[in-house]
Amino acid sequence: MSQMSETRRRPIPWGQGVVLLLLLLLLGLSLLPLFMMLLLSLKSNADIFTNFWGLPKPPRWDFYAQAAGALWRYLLNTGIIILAVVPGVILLSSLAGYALSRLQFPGRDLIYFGVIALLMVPGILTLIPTYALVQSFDLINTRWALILPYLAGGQVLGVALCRTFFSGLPEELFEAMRLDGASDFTIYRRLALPLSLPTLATIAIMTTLGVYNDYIWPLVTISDNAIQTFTVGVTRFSGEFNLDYGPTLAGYVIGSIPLVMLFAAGMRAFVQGVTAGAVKA
Amino acid sequence: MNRGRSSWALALTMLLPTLLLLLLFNYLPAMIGLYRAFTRWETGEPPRWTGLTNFVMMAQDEFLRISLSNQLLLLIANLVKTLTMPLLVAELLMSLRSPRWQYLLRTAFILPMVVPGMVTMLLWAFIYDGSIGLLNQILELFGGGGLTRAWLGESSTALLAIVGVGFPWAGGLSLLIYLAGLTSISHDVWDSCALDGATGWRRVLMVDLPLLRPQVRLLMTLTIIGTLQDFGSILILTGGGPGLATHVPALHMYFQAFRFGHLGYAAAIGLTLFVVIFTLSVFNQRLGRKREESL
Repeated sequence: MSQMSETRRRPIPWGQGVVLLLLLLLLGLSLLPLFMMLLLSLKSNADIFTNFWGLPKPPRWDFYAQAAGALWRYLLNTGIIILAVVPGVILLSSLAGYALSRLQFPGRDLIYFGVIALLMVPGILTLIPTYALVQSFDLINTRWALILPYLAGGQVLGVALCRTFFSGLPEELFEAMRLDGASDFTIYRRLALPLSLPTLATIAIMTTLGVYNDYIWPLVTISDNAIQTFTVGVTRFSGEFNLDYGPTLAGYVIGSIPLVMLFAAGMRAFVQGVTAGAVKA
Repeated sequence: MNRGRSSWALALTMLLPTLLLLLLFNYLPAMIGLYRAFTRWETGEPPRWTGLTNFVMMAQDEFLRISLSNQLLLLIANLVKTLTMPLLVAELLMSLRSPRWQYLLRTAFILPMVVPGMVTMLLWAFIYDGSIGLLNQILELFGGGGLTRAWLGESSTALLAIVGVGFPWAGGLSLLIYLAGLTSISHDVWDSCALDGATGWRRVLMVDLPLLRPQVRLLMTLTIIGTLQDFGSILILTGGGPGLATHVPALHMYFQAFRFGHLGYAAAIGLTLFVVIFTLSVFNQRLGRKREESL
């Protein structure tokens, strides 16, 4: 691209320095809360009150051990739910997505419409009835109260994404395997699944995010602290520290680490999935 | 071909678990919610059909009326937030010449998305804290010590403080969607703009914004759905208080159901919210599309 059209692309008439400065200012404001969370998580209350903006003296790394001690059970509980839900959502929505895109049978489009229509049904409408339903199954205050509705809810988007992806694959790939005598299930396992790794990674990330961040549902269905999830637990755990801000903020940092790791790992899987060469397979 | 029959059986096997789960945990609750909004249904009692009684009660519910005006203000504020700051940052990023700075800053702007929503909310509760909150500290730093207060604890500031959450509202999904939209505008369009003398802010207003209409429409729909449904963050920040200063209809529904046990009345509020959200979304989509067609 020529330098000329480079210049024309820029809409904002100010110099590059001004643009950069404005961006850095907005960025600083956006990141300030996160920065202060890290800084103050290492300070005792006395340190915070007398020396709010300065470096911690001395840094209280033991706050992280305290916070981890109070939070690990909640994080473990969230982990258990995610491990139960995410593989299930991936397996079931890829199977359903395959059937709805590569198999011919009467009523196919109607069933697909029935699935994606659920995207229009907001949680606010179903919250109370789902609660009553789970209660009538006697599942309140068990992990099943979380796992089963998440497993169902996660599939709406999962099926939509899988079906879209499988429909876009060239028919020749499927025809070649059928000529080799492969059954539909073999084609699903050997061809469709490996090719859809980036899509499945996306579904896994979005499902994990949804489960990790959900607050209201575990709040109303789980009362036993031993199986409570992180999102609810983190709103209660600060009571254990005699109103010390440091360990509470350290707990917020610890609770953020799993999602940071998920994004780091998920991005790599995503890029790998794309660069592994879907067409070459 | 005999594949049709075997396909039916196979398809059914592959679909069965999904369909069962969706029928049980999505369709059935939606149906129950639809029906029981018209019943008197208290915790532990069987529902009894009462026709429109719940909806008549809603019309006379003083709490709901107050929460409605709070909700309207929050909705307008959220729409303005979504339509201004992320778009400004997207245009600023696009006008950076160095691709490396562009990439670096874009990544940094979406970094806060990785922090769990609950942690973000609790951090904002800390920012507004009355004794040692970040906002009070900043005010004192700049000589505004007289203004310090418990921002979420006073009815005169609580609602504004909730609007302020996420300041400067620049990053996140909206930024990504605007950037995707701007990147897809053909360079030819911008080149011919430059030739016609439409540069700078005029181009942003006359060319970029009309071309970004699909993105704006999507973000408006998402904001409407998100704002009217989300009561978790208000529950964390203020619990609807002080008094009714930050009360919203969805929170009213939650309290009616899980604090007072009026499940039927809560289901009626839920159904009404669903109808409102659905109508606003459809209206927004239609309106946007009509304007695009008339272009």
